[in-house]
Amino acid sequence: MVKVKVFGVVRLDSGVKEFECEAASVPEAFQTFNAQSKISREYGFGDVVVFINGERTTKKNASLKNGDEVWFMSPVSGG
Amino acid sequence: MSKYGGYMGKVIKIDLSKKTVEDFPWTDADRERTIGGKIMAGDILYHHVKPGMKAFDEDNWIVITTGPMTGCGVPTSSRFNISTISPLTGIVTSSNSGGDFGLMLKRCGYDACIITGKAATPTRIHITEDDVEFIDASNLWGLECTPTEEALPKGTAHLVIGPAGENKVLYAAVLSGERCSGRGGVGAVFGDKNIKAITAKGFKHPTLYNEEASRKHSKKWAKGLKKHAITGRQLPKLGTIGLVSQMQAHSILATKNFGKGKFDDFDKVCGEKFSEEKLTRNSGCTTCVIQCTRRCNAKGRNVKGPELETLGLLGPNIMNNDMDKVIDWNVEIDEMGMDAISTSGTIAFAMELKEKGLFDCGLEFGRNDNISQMIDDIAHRRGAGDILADGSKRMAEKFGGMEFAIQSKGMELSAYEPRHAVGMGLGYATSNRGGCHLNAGYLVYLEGLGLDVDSLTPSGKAAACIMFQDLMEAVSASGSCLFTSYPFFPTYIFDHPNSPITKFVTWVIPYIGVAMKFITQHPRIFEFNLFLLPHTKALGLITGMRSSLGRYLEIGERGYNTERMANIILGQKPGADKLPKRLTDERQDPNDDRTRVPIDRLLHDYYDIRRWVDGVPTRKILKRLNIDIPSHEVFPYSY
Repeated sequence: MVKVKVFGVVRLDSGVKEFECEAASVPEAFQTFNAQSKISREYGFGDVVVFINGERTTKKNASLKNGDEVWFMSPVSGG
Repeated sequence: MSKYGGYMGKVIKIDLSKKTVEDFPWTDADRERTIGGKIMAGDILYHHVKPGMKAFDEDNWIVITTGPMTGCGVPTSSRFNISTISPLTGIVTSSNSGGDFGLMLKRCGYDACIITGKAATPTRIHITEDDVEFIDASNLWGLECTPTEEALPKGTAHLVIGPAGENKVLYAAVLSGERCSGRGGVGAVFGDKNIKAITAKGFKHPTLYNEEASRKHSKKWAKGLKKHAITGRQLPKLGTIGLVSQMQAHSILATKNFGKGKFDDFDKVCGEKFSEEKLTRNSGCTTCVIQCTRRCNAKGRNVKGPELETLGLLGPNIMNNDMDKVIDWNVEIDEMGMDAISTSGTIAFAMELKEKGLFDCGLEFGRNDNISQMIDDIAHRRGAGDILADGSKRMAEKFGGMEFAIQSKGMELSAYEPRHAVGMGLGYATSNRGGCHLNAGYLVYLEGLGLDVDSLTPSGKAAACIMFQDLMEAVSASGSCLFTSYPFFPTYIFDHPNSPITKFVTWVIPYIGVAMKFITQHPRIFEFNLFLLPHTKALGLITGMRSSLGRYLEIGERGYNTERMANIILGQKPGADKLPKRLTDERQDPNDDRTRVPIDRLLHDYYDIRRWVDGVPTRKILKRLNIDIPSHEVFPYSY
C-alpha cells in the first residue's frame, strides 16, 4: 500500500486530503485520486507537483513500492 | 500641483510640537525620479537624516506616502507606505500596508504627509481637505487597537497604535483597519511622538491622463489576475498560509528557531487545514481582486486569520502544532499593535536561550500555555516582556547566542528558512530594512514556492535577487500590492508544473545571470512595456509620464540605492549585509554542505552587479542613478 497526501488548491477543489491505495506507479495513484475527486476532469502528472518520500519526481511513470508516501501538490506562492 | 495624472500634487508637513502645517515642496521632477510610495519616502528621508539621528529624536520624520495608481481604478493598488528611522535597527524602515488610509489621504488632496516634532500629550491628527486638526486623544491612550478604532469618527480612514506603540516596544506596529504597517517599529515612533491615531476624510479624486485607456487596461489587468493560478486561485482559496505545506516539502519551513527546515506536525498548522476547518470567508484590501485574507471565528467574534509569517513563526518555529492557539495569538498581537514577525522571532530566540541555559523567562519550545501572557507582557514592557520588547539582537548582546539570533541588521527574519533557498538568504542579508523577505526580492518565488529552480546553487541568484528587489521596489512605489507582480511568470508554468516548457524555465534561470546582470546595468535599453508586467503601461496611462520596463527597473534601482545611502548616513557601516552564523556556518542537512547560505560568494556577485563595495554604493552608480552624493564628512567613501 502507498499513502497519498494532497496539498494546495487541488486538495480543496477535489475534496481529497489523503488516501491509501495499491499502486505500483504514479499513474495508478492518480487513478485512485480521480475516482475520489470532485473535480470534473481527470488529473494527471502534468497538473501537480509530485513528491515521493520527500523528493520531487519529474518522472511521469515513476514506480512506487509498498510503504511509499506520495504527495500531490499544486504550486503555490505569495507570502 | 502636478502636470501628471494620478497625483494630487500636494505634500504636507505636520509639526506636532508647534501644531503647524505647511506645504512640503515636491516637484514633477521628483515624481519622475521616484514615482511615489516607498521610493518617494526614502528620497525624502535621505535628504533629511543626519549622522547620529535616532528614531526617538523629535526631528525624526514619519513619512507617509501613496502611489499614483491608488484611487485610479487599478486593481489591488491601495497600498501606502510609512517610512521613518527604525528604533529596532537604527536605520530606515519602510513599512507598507493595505487598507483605506492611503486612498483617503489622496481624497483629502495629498500624495503624502510628513510628521515631525512631538505632541505634548496623546494626540489624534485629523486630516481633511481643508484642515489638519490636533485633537486630544488622552481618552484613547491605553486602549488596544480595535477599541481605539471603534472610538474614532465613522467614515474616516485611520492609523492607530496599541499599547505596544505607547510603550515603545521596538517592533510596535501601526494598524489601519485589519491591515498592518508591521515592520521596523513604526508604531513605537508614533508612540514616542504621542500620536495615538491619525484619521483622514475627504472626497477628492485624482484625475487620470488617459482615463478611458487606463480603465480598459485595468479591466484587462484584473481579468489576468483572476485567471492566474497564484493570484486567481491559490491566494483567494488558501491565502498566504497555503505555503506551509510547500515550504515543508522544500525544507524551507523555519522550525525550532531556524534550527531545521521541516516540522513533523506541519499538517496540523497548514493552510489547507485552516481552509477546511476554520475559514468563514476570505477578504482583502480596498480595490483588491485577489482577496487573500482569511477570516475565521476566534475569541467570540469573526477575526482576521493569520498570514503565513505568523502561522509559520508561531507554529513550527516555536514547535507549536495547535492552530487555534496561533489564531488567538494573531489577534492578540494585532490588538497590542506589534509586528507578528519580530514578536514571534524574539519569542523563539528566548526559547532557545532557555534551552541553552542562557536566559529563562519561562518560554520553551513546545510549551504554548504562557505565550498569550508574554505577548501582553511585551506590549506593556512588564517583567521579562520588557527585555523581549527590544528584540532578539539586543537580547543576544545581553545574554549571548548571537549566532542563533535570527535577524539581519537587527530585524528578525520571516518564516522562510534560507539554507534550502540560498538566494533568499542573500536577499535577507542585503535587504535595506533588515530581515525582510519582500525587501529581499522574495527569491523563494523561484526557489520552490512557485518555480522550482535549483535552490542550493548560488549561480544566477545575485542577478535574480537584484532584478526582483528593484522590480518590487517600483511596484510598491506605484501603490500596487506586490502580489500583482506574481503573474510576471505566466500561469501556464503553475498550471503545468511538469511540462517541458516549465522544466526548461526552471533549469535555465541559474544560467541567465549574465542576461539579468545586463538588464540591471543597462535598463534604458528596455524602452518598452512588457505584457507580463502591466504596471508600466498603467503608470503611463494614469500619469502621462514616459514609462517602460527599463525606466521602471531603473527607478526601483534608484530607490534601493537611495534607501541604502540613507542608512549609511545613519551609521550603517560596510559589512552590514550579514546573516547569523546558524544560517551561514551550520548545515541544515549535516550530510550536505550546500545546505548553508554561501553568503560570501553571493555577496561578491551581488556587489559586482549593484556596483557597490562591501555594501556601499560607488560614486559611479550614484551618478548614473542621479542620486546626490553627500559631503565627505557624511560619506567618507571614495569608492
